[in-house]
Amino acid sequence: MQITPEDQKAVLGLLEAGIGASTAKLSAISRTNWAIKATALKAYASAEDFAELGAPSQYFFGAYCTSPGRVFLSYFSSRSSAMLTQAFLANSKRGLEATPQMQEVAVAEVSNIVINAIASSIADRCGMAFILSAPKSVRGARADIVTAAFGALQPVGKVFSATINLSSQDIAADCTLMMMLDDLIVNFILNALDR
Amino acid sequence: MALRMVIVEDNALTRELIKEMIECLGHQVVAEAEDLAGALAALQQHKPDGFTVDLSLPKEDGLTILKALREADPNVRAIIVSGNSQARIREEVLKAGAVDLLPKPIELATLRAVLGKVFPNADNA
Repeated sequence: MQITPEDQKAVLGLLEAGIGASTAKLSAISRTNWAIKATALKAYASAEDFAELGAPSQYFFGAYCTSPGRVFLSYFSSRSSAMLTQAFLANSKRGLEATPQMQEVAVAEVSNIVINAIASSIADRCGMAFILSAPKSVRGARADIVTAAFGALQPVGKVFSATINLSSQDIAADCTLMMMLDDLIVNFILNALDR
Repeated sequence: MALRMVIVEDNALTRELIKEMIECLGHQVVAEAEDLAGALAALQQHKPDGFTVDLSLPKEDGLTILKALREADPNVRAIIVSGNSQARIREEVLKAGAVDLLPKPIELATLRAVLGKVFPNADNA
């Protein structure tokens, strides 16, 4: 499927319209404001394309959720993950300890919440209904994380990936949200959008 | 009346937080489960007043668990917990017999309000 500049604009618009729900959830969890830093849309043919994401020295924590034809991924820098874990654990009156293992569990749940917020917004706007899988934890270099999520997709045709980078100036934290969609889902979305 | 609840949730941290909140409201968590088999075993063993069931679970999803619990006991009262706020999923979950939905991230005040609505005779601290 060939995606035109108008199609790209429509998909990005859909994503941007839904991101408010995710930033609201992130703000509720971290008790600080989050804003969009950048957005991008790309088509990928294979996992090798993710080599461009580079910087293997940087370490990230994240999780992805799947449904046929789509994968939603969110990941955070190591520093941001630690801060989010502290914020999440602050809800516990029993003083749960922020161990490295706890960080993975906390980031998985934060990702689950953030991902479902944007996925629900997109679903409602396009007349879709789907239950995403439980979050699958990933950690490591950015390219490894994205490749793992891509591997869970089993796409029909090409994969279109929309990325949104979020940041919180208050706590110098960052979050990347990626939505990978195969041809069938992109077609469905474009047909559903009233353009 | 203090409630006897079962939590069906795969994320250990969220399970712990829900348990803390339920206990903070003066109720008891009689069992925790991560899947359908665990939920059905808890139903049989503890005859709880209610369940909280996560919608996205690794084995069966929460909707499947809700239907199975209701089939085993049509009087089961289950609250679906999820970050999924899709209108059509909400309709489907309520149609399948869920008594309410609890949005993630879970807040104590929201849990208190949901339990108060679902179990009007319960004493929420």
